[in-house]
Amino acid sequence: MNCCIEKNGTVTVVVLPGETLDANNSKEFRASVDPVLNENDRVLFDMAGMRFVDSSGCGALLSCLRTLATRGGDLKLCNVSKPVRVLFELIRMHRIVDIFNTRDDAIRSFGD
Amino acid sequence: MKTVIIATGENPEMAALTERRPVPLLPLVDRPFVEHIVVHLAGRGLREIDFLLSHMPEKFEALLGDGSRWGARFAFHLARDAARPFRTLKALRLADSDEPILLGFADRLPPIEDADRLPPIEDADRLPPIEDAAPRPAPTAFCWRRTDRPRSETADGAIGRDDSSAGTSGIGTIGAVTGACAATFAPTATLSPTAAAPAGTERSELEWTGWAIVTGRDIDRLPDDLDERGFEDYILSRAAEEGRVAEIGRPLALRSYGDLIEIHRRVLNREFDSITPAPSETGAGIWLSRGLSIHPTARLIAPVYIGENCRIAIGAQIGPGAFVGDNCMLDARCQVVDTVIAPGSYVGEALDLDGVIVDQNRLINTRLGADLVVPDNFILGSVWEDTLRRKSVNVIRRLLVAFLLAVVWPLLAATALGLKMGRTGPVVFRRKAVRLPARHERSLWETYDLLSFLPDHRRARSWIGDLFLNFLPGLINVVRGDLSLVGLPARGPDEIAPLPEEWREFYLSCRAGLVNESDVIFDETPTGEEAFAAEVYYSVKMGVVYDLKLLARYAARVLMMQRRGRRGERSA
Repeated sequence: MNCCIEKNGTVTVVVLPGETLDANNSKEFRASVDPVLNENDRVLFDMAGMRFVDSSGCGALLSCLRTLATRGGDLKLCNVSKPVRVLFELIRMHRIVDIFNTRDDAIRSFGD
Repeated sequence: MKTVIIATGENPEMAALTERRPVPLLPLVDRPFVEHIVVHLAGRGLREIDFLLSHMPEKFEALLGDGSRWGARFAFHLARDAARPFRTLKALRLADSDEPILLGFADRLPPIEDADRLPPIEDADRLPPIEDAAPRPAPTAFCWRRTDRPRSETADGAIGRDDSSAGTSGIGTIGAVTGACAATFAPTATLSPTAAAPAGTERSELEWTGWAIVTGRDIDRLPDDLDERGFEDYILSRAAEEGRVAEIGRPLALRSYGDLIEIHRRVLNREFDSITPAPSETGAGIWLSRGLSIHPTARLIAPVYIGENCRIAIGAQIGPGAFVGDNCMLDARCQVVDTVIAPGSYVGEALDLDGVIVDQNRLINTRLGADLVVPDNFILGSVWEDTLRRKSVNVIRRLLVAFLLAVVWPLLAATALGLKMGRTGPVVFRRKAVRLPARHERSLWETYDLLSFLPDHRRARSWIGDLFLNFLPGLINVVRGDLSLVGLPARGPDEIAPLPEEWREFYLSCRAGLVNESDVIFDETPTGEEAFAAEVYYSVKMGVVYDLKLLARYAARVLMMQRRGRRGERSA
């Protein structure tokens, strides 16, 4: 799974590819972002293209958050599509991970 | 002018009422509280509204939609911490630094009409002098005058005017911000200087309504990690230093249980003119909605409001000061005085309710600050709970599983016999598990003995092993009605109590089952995050179709004779 990685100041933006993050590709996703999580403290997942996330996808995102948190880093999400946002709100993902409507808001939230 | 409404929805002091909905969605007569705010704002031409949400945001979004109902445009932002949402507010670039923003809390509704009497924020002549020549918009904090405290002796400017008439426009002192010292302002043409009142007379003090006009710069300068009290101090100090404090009428506030009764009393007594209940007033102080069935011997004593499709039985006395939500049933000879009854509630025969809130089977005494859950539906209950249908579905499920058990009974017996011959000690192991769904209070948890052929109910090494050693004996529990075929993993009381609060909340509201999402989806033993994600995901997805999908996946793993992975065997 090839994730597009961009740098915006001190924030590393990872654009999640594809439309789904589920049991079929969550392991592959985790493997591909592990190096980014290990090398950066401020990571933002841009989920603009994502249309479906299942429990293994949610588990992978939470696992990424834990990886960063144990090193004192932070993970945020942005550009979450409506169907995925509905799911995240229902499972209270927004109480665990910061979710922003736009990339700019998310980057600003990291502060200086 | 853009509007920002902070609607994080949580209030620890009203926890009993916020299990099912956030505070601003509590009803105020004929609609949720926040809807009154939206109607007011849209009616005044404020049609671009951003909401900052945290607790149950999906309920806000379902109620308000995109704002087109009111000719407005809504945007919703999510705050991780309901108690400290201001860090998120700061990250949102809602306006340029000098652009004014109307900002307020969704649990307070000020009489916004009073704002018309204020000088417009663009009126530079009335601004306090500042260093640079170019006038800037200044923050305005809307306050109301509280006059219910007795004076002792005059402190240095800590006490405002002794004019107790709320709603007078003007500028006063803010004891809450500056402590003992008054923050005085350049008086406008309409003001007279504050006079110290003699001791022993009533004291008045300005309190913030929770609404203010701020600028983008004020939000950019917000200190980090503020709670609501810190935010209030910040806004008032900004207004005191660089802007103004504007006195308006007393707001409707929904910040405690008592407030819920109080705001209904004020509206039904017409003390807040800008809210008029939609149903017509059939008598002085009596509002009756449509679809009612009221026994001729029932007495209605004003002020009283009765929502749609309610039934009031023989000899009931409703009021004074009674608000009855939609779809309620008040049984014979009950008395309801100074009480709010939430929609869908049943009030039993001959109950005497005074100064309480009833939310289906929850009773909150606002005077004592106590709340309790009444388990007996004949006393207090839910009108909507379709007990008969739920029980029927349950019975049918159990009959189907009983049939399945009858078919696989020889396999179960053969497994038990084989284990008896192959091992010493017990064949069947029992583990205490909590029957779900369950209430939050641990004292109300019921337990049962979950059966398994494996000691400690541990995971079998293969799926077919799981079928024979866990699934088959567990069918007996399903037939008994202890758990379902598909659901969350069964846990005992000591396993549930340490779960994080959010996780525990989801877990207790769902049902337990032999086949779990986490087992089927995650090949190896799931990590903590995966287990949590699986359980909360299942709790929102569960239903007949989804359960069948999980069962099919389980069956596929069994038929393909797959081995269950262990953590650590996964490739890096």
